[in-house]
Amino acid sequence: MSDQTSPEIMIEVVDLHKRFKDLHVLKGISTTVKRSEVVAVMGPSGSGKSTFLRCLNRLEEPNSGHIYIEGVDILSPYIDINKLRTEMGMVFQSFNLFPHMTCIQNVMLAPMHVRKISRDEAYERGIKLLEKVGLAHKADAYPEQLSGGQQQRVAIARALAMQPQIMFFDEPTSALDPEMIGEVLDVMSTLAREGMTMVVVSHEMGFIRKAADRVLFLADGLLVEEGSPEEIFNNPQHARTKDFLSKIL
Amino acid sequence: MTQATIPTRVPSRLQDLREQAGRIPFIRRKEFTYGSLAGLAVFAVLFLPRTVPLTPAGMAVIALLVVGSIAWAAIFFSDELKPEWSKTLTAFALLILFGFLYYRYSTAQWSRMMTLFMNMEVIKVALPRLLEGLVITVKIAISSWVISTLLGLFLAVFRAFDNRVLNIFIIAYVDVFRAIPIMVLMVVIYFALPYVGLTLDAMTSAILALGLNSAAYVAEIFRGGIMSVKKGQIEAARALGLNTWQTMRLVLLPQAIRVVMPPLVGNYVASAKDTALASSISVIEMMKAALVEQAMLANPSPLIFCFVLYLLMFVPLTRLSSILEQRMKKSQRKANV
Ligand SMILES: Nc1ncnc2c1ncn2[C@@H]1O[C@H](COP(=O)(O)OP(=O)(O)OP(=O)(O)O)[C@@H](O)[C@H]1O
Ligand SMILES: [Mg+2]
Repeated sequence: MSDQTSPEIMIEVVDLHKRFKDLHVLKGISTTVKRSEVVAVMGPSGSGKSTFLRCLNRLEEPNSGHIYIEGVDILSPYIDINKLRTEMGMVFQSFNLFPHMTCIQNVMLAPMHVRKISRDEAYERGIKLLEKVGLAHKADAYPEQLSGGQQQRVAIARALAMQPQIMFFDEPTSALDPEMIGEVLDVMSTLAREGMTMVVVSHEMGFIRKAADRVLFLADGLLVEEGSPEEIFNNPQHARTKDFLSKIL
Repeated sequence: MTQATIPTRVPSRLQDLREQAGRIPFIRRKEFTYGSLAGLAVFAVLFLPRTVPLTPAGMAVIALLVVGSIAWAAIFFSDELKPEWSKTLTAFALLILFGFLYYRYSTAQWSRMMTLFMNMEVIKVALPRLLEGLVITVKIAISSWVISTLLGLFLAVFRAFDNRVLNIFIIAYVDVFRAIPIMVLMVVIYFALPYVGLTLDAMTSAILALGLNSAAYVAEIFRGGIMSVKKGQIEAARALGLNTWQTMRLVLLPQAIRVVMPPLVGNYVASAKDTALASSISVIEMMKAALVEQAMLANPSPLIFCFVLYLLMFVPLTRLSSILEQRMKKSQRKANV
């Protein structure tokens, strides 16, 4: 997958709406993400960034609109959502590792039970992934024995174990102490370089500048501005964007 | 060293307080502690009755002594400055004093204790039936555990799906079966159900009543366990592509089980203790067997034997429940750091 460089469309979102009871959180979002593209999503708190991301793998059910992944309409009632989710890894702000399993067990779980590969194969794949995130030596440790940064790296390995085509990150570093943010962003940068398609909710300007191809700026459930990191950071057009950037810079 | 001024030592204000005897409340002072203890001792020696059938005056003296020594101990215990060992000593002294008073003044016939309550001859005669009763008690207990665990887990898992219609049925079940007294349930199952064409033998009725009742509690215990697992855990599992059942089996239940074990074991003990209620529908379980033997042999030893057997069965289980609970709290504390 990573060697494929054709700019084919990986995710297409058309006029996405999401309401929680009376609260209209997403008010018609449309965008596309190409294969191997890294898209950063920014915006003030409550603007709907997490909701947007969670709609993309249907952890939240959108109220209307369309989402196509590789051309497949994932909101169709005929879609096998579990199969679909195996193509999309997700990394959460609060890690959400399974506390009753060791790191390697966390990583092996889904490949064994969803992909039905053998224990040995899952183990081999798991150890390779833990090596990739620099934590092979912690394979048999429980999550509570790891630092936040290490837990998040294991969570990334766990998501990668399903060999997804797309990775979603929802503020993966905002629950971390400053000295641990770097180690997680390094892993993410490596992934981006290897050609993984990524949608990342983050406000880490350095990372976005370096790794992201495009920035989406959400405010009040609307996509108010999008462009390359340079365009957005150096020359924001919309007042909301200017205001927000002036606050976090 | 060029330090010019050495800071003068500031005396602790608490130290002052302690040293100024005048500030220590009267009842905390040595004079009071030992003076009142001596007073109690003198009172006991002078006034405790010498003969056994107690007069009202004698009873009053004993009551005064008991109240006085408890009050003394309460004052002693509430003083943080007294060393721990002296409090332990006090506790033992109180126990010995009360034991002595009871032994000395009760109407019990101590010399006949053994033949009355621990009569080996009687127990030997009664033993076969007591053991039969024990087997029945254990059978009822274990069968009702199986029923309540399976049914309770089933109810809790379906409750977790949070379907409105299912919820109504499950809540109704839990409320109803927690409200009905077990004995009433047993009697209804045994005596009333035959009229609607469902005849169950006494033992089955007892098992069913205990199991149905206990399942309501087990369902609530499991529900609490499932709810104690954070939402993010389920989301992480679903995001990996695990389906609902896999999420339940691999992620939710293993985490819930840790929280659930202590109250679950406690609930098992509770329902096992209620096996004695089966005697009300003519099941000869252990207690009934002991009662029968007691009546036939005109000696309470079988009852005492039965009492001890209950203790032997259930004290280890209640202990296990406490140990599990402590272990869980410890691991939770670690996880929260
Ligand atoms: N399950 C839910 N039920 C009701 N309201 C919700 C739910 N999830 C999110 N919301 C609301 O939707 C709005 C958008 O939430 P969302 O989490 O998407 O914001 P966000 O941009 O990710 O914010 P943050 O930067 O704080 O994470 C908020 O007002 C939030 O209160
Ligand atoms: Mg968010």
